[in-house]
Amino acid sequence: MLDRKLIEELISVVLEEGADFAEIFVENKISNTIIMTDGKVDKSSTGQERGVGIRGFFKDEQVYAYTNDLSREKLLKVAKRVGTAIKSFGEGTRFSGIKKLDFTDKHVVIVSPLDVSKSEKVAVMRLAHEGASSYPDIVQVMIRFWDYVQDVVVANSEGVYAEDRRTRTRLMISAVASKDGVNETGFYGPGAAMGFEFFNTFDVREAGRKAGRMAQRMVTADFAPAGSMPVIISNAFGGVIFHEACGHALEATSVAKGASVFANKLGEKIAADCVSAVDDATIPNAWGSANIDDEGVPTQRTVLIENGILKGYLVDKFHSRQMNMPSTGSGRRQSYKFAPTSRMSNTFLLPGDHHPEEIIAATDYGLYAKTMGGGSVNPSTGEFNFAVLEGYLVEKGRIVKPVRGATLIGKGWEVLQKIDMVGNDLARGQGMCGSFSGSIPADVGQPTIRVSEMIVGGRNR
Amino acid sequence: MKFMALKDFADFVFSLGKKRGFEECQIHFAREHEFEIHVSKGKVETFKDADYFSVSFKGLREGKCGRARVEALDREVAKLLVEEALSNLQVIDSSDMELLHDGSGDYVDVDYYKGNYERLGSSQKVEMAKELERTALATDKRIVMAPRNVFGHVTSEEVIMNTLGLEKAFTNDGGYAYTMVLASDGKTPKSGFKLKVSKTPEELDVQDIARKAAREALALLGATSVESGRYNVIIRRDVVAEMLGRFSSIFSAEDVQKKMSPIKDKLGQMIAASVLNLFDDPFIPESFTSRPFDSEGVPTSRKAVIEKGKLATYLYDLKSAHKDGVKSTGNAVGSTIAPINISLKGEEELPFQELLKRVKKGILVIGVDGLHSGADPISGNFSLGARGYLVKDGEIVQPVEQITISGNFVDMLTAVKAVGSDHELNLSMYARALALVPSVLVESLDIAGK
Repeated sequence: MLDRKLIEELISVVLEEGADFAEIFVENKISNTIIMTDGKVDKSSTGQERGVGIRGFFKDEQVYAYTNDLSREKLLKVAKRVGTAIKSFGEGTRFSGIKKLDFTDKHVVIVSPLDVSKSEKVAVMRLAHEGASSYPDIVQVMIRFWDYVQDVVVANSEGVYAEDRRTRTRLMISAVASKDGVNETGFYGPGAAMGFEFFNTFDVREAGRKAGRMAQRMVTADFAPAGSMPVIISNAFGGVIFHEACGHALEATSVAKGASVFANKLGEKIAADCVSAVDDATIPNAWGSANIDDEGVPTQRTVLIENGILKGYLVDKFHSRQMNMPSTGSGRRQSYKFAPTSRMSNTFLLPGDHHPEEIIAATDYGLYAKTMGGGSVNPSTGEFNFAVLEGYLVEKGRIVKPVRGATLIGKGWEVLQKIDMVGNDLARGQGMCGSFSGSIPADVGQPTIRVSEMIVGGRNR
Repeated sequence: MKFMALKDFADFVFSLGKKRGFEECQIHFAREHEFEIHVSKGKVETFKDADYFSVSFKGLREGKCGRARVEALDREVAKLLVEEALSNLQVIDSSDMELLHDGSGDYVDVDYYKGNYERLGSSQKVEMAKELERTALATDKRIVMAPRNVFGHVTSEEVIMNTLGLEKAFTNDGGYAYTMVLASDGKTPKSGFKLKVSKTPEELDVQDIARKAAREALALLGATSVESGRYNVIIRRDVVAEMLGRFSSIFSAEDVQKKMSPIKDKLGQMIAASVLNLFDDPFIPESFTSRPFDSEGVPTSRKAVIEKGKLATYLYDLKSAHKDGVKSTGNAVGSTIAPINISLKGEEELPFQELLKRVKKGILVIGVDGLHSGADPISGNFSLGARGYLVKDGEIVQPVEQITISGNFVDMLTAVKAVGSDHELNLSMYARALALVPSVLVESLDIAGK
């Protein structure tokens, strides 16, 4: 994508100006988005993103610039600008050229999206549409098909030269049910680091039905009650609670400067004994997986919490300097328009002993959050919130009725200690995670869990 | 951007497009210069200085539109644009007519580009970000950290041309600063946040931003949850801006046509309290999202969306307008329909202190979390994490956290009792717009807490 000699030259320019670390990131990405509304394709577009990001460090300061003018003249100018902005009087760092990093591709793609016609993609969307429309009160179904092939090159002054291709495919199904003037939405959005073969791995029509069923159930549901109560959170996308409540606060971005509630707590008990959690970017073809991160570091499985004890953080190159800890291969970015920082990949709670039915049976009164929506967190205070897309009221150990419109709030460090039952049904779900280095694919996951007490933002009786 | 180079490229693409069977073609060029600096503990943590260029192509045939987008300007990508657009067009089976604009109508010329931010030197910019942190930390001993101190500015340039003769260009710029501050009384930390946007650095008072963020964090020390129940609620102006932005898609004619808006079939009817007027105002001089034409090249215009509580119009782009047999309102923003700037005015407006005095038992909401997940513009329902103050008999009595506010956006507009006079220009992130709005008093919302 960019001549290796030129890359070496750019690194040298950044170093000559005084940086003690230089990095070049080259990206070429082709994406395709198709939108089907009411069973008709009304938008289809193709996008090519192509650009270069140049980064320099001097001690604990960093400078980042990007451009999509790939001429040699412009790139040298940008590299010089990065170097000059650092304005250090360092000794100059030795740089003896780059060497290709070899690794085995763990995320093999069988049918590249680039080799699939748009009408084949539309055929998949039709199946999802059929499934989602198969409930009586559904008034609108919107299907979004999204795939991309992203080629990246990362090279740095430590001699690394790594190339990787990331292929991702996702289907996002939204169904709207309407009854007596009330609208409710159902959503399901499966995705993977796979090509078109992804659609051989699950029943697309059933995926559509899942979104339709959710909207149908919710449109006739009462509002969730308001107040503090036990909450059972279902598996798969339910893991968004750990992602928000804890994951973000374990990223070096906030840990390094002591701005996280979990800073300086390695080895300490931060969660109930039944809680163990990992971040694993090596799971073959998972939505948040990659061979290398966006700083050219091979990815790994990182244990975050083991039996309630804090074991690790997610570390990128820049913050590894301040924390004196090696990178965990967690430097990620949306595109060349962002400097990378520590981010989650596939992050999930490990399974426990209980069957999910047992957890419900053991609950006298509470909310069963069957399907979660997104959420957010303030890592400094630990305050998080997230939406329940599909909820049920539990009374005397039984699910009694569907309820809608609930949001769960709390503080991460409190909730981790209040998890009192962990199921054996670990599964993962797909989402887009937004933070300082943009919006990136990430898996969340967990088995069914129970939190003994949480604030449910519903309506008062 | 060099106009002639763009024109040559566009002409080349247009001739290629016509050869491949497109009836009409359009090209939209965008260039952006982005600068952003993060300071923490007196050090420059991130320094970003970047250029970005993109070319979006639309080709029309038999009322259908094929789209493609690239980030370069050479003959090879010209071919890619046309071929990809064609293959995209071929899968479209919606019968909704796609159109291009011919450049007719009145384009309001406002002085959108100032250039003052770009004229600042790097060291001045670094100094502004450092000043945020210094001021915040000096406010009070209990301010323990200011983890984010950010200064940035953006210049964006757009050129749009098509085969119907449209040829328009404009440049806009503006900047911002924000800080996030942590206060601690030795127990649990509280955070305070303040962001300001402006057209010129002279209008950006970083010390004021830092002090406001610090004061907010301090005021929240000792915050607790409250009993669940229904309360009077004052929504502070910056939160009003965010909520209006999040729910702005309810006014999109496309969402209405797709039955995805709670105000479908409500044109001319009351959807808000009669004291409320809501405008789309593309010409607010202080706003860096102000613009003379929309993403389709249609002139923008100032208009009431809600007039004395009545829904006066939906917002249209070319396609949705054609479907309803009306004219586009110039609200195509990217590939969606949105207000350009939001402005809210009361028929009668009260000073903020007067709003407080009208509260017997209520909550002053100064921040909400989870708008992207806990607010649904299709139903209008929301349930959001919130913080603020408990108000009793017109007086602030204690800070509040760990509560949620829940309701329906349209019901909330209807339940507005009074509108403040404390208008401020704030970011309305979800609408990608700025909002010039005051605080409002709402009769009641559901609060969940203890």
